Amino acid sequence: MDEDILMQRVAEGDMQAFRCLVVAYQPRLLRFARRMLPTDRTFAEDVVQEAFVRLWRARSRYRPEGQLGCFLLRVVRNLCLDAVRDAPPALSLETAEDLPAPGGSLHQQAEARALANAVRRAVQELPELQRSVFVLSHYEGLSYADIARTLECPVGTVASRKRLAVEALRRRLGAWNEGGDKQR
Amino acid sequence: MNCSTIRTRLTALLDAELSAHVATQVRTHLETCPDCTQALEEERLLRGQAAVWLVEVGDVWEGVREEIRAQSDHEALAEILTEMRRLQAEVRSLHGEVASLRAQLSVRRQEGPSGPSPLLPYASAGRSTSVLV
Repeated sequence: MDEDILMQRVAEGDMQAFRCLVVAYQPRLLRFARRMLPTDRTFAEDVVQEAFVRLWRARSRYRPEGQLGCFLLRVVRNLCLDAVRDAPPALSLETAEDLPAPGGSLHQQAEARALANAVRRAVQELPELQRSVFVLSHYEGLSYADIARTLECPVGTVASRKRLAVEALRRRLGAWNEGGDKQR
Repeated sequence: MNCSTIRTRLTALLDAELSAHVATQVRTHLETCPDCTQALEEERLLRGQAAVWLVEVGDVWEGVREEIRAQSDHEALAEILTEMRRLQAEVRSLHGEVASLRAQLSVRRQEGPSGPSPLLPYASAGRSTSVLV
């Protein structure tokens, strides 16, 4: 169903319609929060839950513009920034659920897990705006225009931050490719 | 376009964010430039590596619903308390008015039956004023 129609029903207090919105948007929001917050899964879930609660509280003021996804991502990003500023979370480097999809030999799985951890560390060391742009573009497949709407910045800024992020990751993962970072 | 300019556009090329005209220019350059082609391949490799970082996600609906319910209960309680306070203030105000009217009535009674009667602040049907009995 069209999101504006759903939001209209939500504005009238329809919890079933709200559930449809939560179910539709939570995977992207949770992935985004998990990649933005260098911490455990619960922290990201709390942030996304709060974003939905805020949407519910603001439901009567919502104006249909077809940009609910960008709006929710913006709320989650701001909550992530607040959360990190208020209580810098400890970096979690090894969690079982972050393992890549199983496949191949045990050795290949171990290699893939080491690479995933190296990527996670490299992405989370990016400056915040570069990290937001890279995560939204690379992992969520958003267009530069949608990222610009989400982050409220010009499209040119999105393009330049994506390029800077790619260059930084190439430098950091270059060391991993040469074997120097595999032991970390 | 020289190599330096091309390098700044490889990321946007892979993201399909270049205009058709610029994308054609970049591809034409790549056909004849092994260094830029190498840079493009390195970026493709990086994207493949980055894709290895997967995250699993759960379901926050129950938490959202509980939080909304808790807030709704709290808001409903706050509304009830506000309404109760408003009604208390109204009752106090009415008590004051009744006391004032009783005092006026007492004075009129002391002045005797010929004295002026307190008038209600509105006109009743068929009469311009009514006498408070």
